[in-house]
Amino acid sequence: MAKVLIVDDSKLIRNIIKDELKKKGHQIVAEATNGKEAIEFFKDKSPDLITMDITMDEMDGLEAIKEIYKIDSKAKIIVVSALGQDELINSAIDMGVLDFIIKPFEPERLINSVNKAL
Amino acid sequence: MQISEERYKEMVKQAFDHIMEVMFNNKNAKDSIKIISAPPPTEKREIAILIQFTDGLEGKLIFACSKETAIKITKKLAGIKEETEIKLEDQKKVFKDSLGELMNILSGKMAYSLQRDFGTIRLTTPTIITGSDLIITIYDISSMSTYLESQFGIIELTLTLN
Repeated sequence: MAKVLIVDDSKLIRNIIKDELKKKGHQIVAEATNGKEAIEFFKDKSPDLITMDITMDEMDGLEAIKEIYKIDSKAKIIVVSALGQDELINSAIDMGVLDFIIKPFEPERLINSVNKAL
Repeated sequence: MQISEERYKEMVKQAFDHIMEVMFNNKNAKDSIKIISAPPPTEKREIAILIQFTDGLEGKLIFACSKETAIKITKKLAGIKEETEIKLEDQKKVFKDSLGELMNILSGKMAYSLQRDFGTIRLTTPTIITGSDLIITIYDISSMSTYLESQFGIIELTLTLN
């Protein structure tokens, strides 16, 4: 069982991720709606894994990923985003994220990615 | 560089077919959405969602539909029972969350299709506009509209380019 932080500005997507991960026995330690909240929750909750959206108000996912890696370069992050363009995927992978899931996704895609990351 | 109307319609259809299959769990997605030439004159625009393209392509994608259609899509996406009423004070927030995410995904898929021609395209977060019968006029250089007939009702999608 892993402690997971879900970052997405859409409650709909947070609920989908939350339901799928809970079914597999993972614990959702917090849900953030933007990058700033994600950093605060990361510091406060020390999650084992983060699912991170990219397009969000206040601070986007790529900025948040940079900041999180400054705090812990070994943080485990999976991007879950509607933006699936090659350059964005490559830059996120170069930053160190473990996987890049493009929305909409099948539940198995998420679970496989989480299992691999952990 | 311009986008032809034919290519635009093809992109919209492909994106919606995939969204219907994955997000709405409709395995017969290809038959469930049909492009029509124009909506019936009685069709109302009461909800609109706008996402802006920036960087590689400057423009806007606007989704518009009736409130009834918006409610049907929202209930299906959020797993809300058909008989459950969405309170008036919650509607704007719920529409932004569900239709906004639908538009985010649709825009993301279009940006992916266009990356070879325009490079990396960034998206803004969705803006929701509500009213009783919206007439949206955007003064960009070009605009194309397509109308989709779905199980939820008619959806209008307009792409404007600066």
